[in-house]
Amino acid sequence: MIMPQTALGLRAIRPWLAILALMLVSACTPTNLFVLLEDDDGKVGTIQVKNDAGSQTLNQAGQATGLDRAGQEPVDPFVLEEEEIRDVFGEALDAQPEPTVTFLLYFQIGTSELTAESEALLPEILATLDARKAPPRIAVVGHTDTLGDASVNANLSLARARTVRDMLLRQAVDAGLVELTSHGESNPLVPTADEVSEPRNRRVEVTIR
Amino acid sequence: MRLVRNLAVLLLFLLATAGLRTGVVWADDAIGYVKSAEGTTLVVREEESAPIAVGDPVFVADLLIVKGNGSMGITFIDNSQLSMGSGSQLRLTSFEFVPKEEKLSFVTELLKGTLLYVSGVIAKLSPDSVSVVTPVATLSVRGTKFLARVDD
Repeated sequence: MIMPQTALGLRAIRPWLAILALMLVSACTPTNLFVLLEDDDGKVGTIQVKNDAGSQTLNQAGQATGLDRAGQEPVDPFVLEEEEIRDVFGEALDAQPEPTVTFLLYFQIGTSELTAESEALLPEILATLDARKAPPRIAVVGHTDTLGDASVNANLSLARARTVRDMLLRQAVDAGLVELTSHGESNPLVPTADEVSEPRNRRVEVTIR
Repeated sequence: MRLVRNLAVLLLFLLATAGLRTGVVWADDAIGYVKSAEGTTLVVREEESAPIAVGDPVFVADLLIVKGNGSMGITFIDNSQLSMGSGSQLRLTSFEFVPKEEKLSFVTELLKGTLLYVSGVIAKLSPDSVSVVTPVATLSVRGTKFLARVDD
């Protein structure tokens, strides 16, 4: 006669036990909380959390530290479960902007004429722009290789950037979204000695943010 | 000819000083742009609070606020991304991105709320110049993605 009642009682308090367990977990999590995540490219960096009372270094994805009140020492690193990360940081995680996308466009030697392969990338660039939820910013940055005079290359890198910008504007891209810069031969993708012809350095980088 | 030039110089000068007087911030100095915003999102700039929305630029010294429930995400010109959840306040304390002159720094201050930090080129080129200050601890950032919550 008693057995079913006990079972019923247990069943009734089970949800409360779950909530209690959750509260206990939350109670252990410091109110001021710092969590390391895996980078978008899969690597894991490092953060150091430091104050006058001490410091902790996090170097594994999901590792966390923190403290309840100012003046306390950051606690030993612990692993924060995925679920609790979502619980606390869901809004901030969901508000992360779309990733930056970069296109490299290459040029024929000594000219501001695109290679055929690079010219063929235009539809993909336009499709990327169209797919953006927020208004994109488009950085167009011109470069040259180290062949020839540096001042000539400064002009050439600008001419290359203009070629790409004008190509975008002809496709009805809003001029106000495009920022044009040029670095001459000073910012090679592949470092070389001076006076070296390097196709990979004859480029314009189009970065969509 | 000379008169025209002098007038042009004078006009430019007047425009420039008018800009300074009214505290106009030129878009050229923008260090990033708002990419997502939900709820009430504000910026405190030169001691004045104003709404800030998707597409708007942000500048050094801005205090960004998510008032009540909501969120806001920003992409910076070095590809860093910062996003915040409900009840957050974040100050953009310093931002220098001139690799050629080795002028690189990015310091933000999370006064309260939640923050997702995705580091960009500045952290890659000069890891020691990137930090997030909070009321309880300072975070040094070495090329990475992380979360921070500051509770008052």
